[in-house]
Amino acid sequence: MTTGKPSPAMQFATLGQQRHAGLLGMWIFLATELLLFGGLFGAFAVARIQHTEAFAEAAHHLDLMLGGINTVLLLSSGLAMALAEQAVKSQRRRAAMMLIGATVLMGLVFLGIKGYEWYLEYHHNLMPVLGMAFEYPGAHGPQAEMFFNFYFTMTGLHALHMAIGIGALVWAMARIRQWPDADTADRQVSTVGLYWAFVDVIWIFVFTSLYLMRG
Amino acid sequence: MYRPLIVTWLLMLALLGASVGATLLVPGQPQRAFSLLCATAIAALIVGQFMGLRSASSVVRLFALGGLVWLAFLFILTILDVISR
Repeated sequence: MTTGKPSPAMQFATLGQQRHAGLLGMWIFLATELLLFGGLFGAFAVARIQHTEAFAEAAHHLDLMLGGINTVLLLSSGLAMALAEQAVKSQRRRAAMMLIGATVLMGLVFLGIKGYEWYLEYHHNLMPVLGMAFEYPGAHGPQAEMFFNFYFTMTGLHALHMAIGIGALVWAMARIRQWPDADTADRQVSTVGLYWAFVDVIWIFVFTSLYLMRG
Repeated sequence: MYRPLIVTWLLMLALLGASVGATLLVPGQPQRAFSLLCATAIAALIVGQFMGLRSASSVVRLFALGGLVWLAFLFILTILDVISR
């Protein structure tokens, strides 16, 4: 429990330095995440170049409307989170709580829609994971299976990051509720906001690579 | 304070609409390039506005750029190998 004027942790000279170190640490972490996803996107790009026709055909079996709705949801959740950060900066706790709550809600709806899409693909025997049968109605079965392997790996890894992000957002809401002090709340919410925005960035490329490369 | 964020969001939705529209109307190689360009523009808007890189310190910008440079190495060397065989 803090009392009186907020002070930085013992290893920092000022609160500003502490905030800067926290944000820099998150950016470094995100750079490593970028390389994790980068390897996956690189492998996908190679396979896409080698099997252009098959991957374009396989992309038609994804639900563009659901993918599009999810993209709008995620971009909107990014806006809500950015607005929440502004609300914390101006010490509007109630507005910040509501905006982060809206971000969590949109994240949960995103995961729900994603889960429904996976169910549809399972229902159509297009889920080549955990030894399940893969029955592709098109001409390029083996290449399409590779496409769907990429699809489930990329969307699954992204969904895992979403789930972690939602957990972090709930934690941020708890911190705003406790409100240790304005600087701490601002620093912690900004750090979580960086992570959430990064998840948005990754989804934009997942959506474009998988759903929109169908020509 | 809030207006630039809302304008950014509207711009992103417009870019997304253009990208999906091109996919539905004129699928093909030019559309693929256009959709990737739209995705890059949306990502730049998120990073610049929502992640605050526009107003970040030079050290933070340097580290963000470092991530992009390594990603570029990964992509360029991999793709060059594939298309030059």
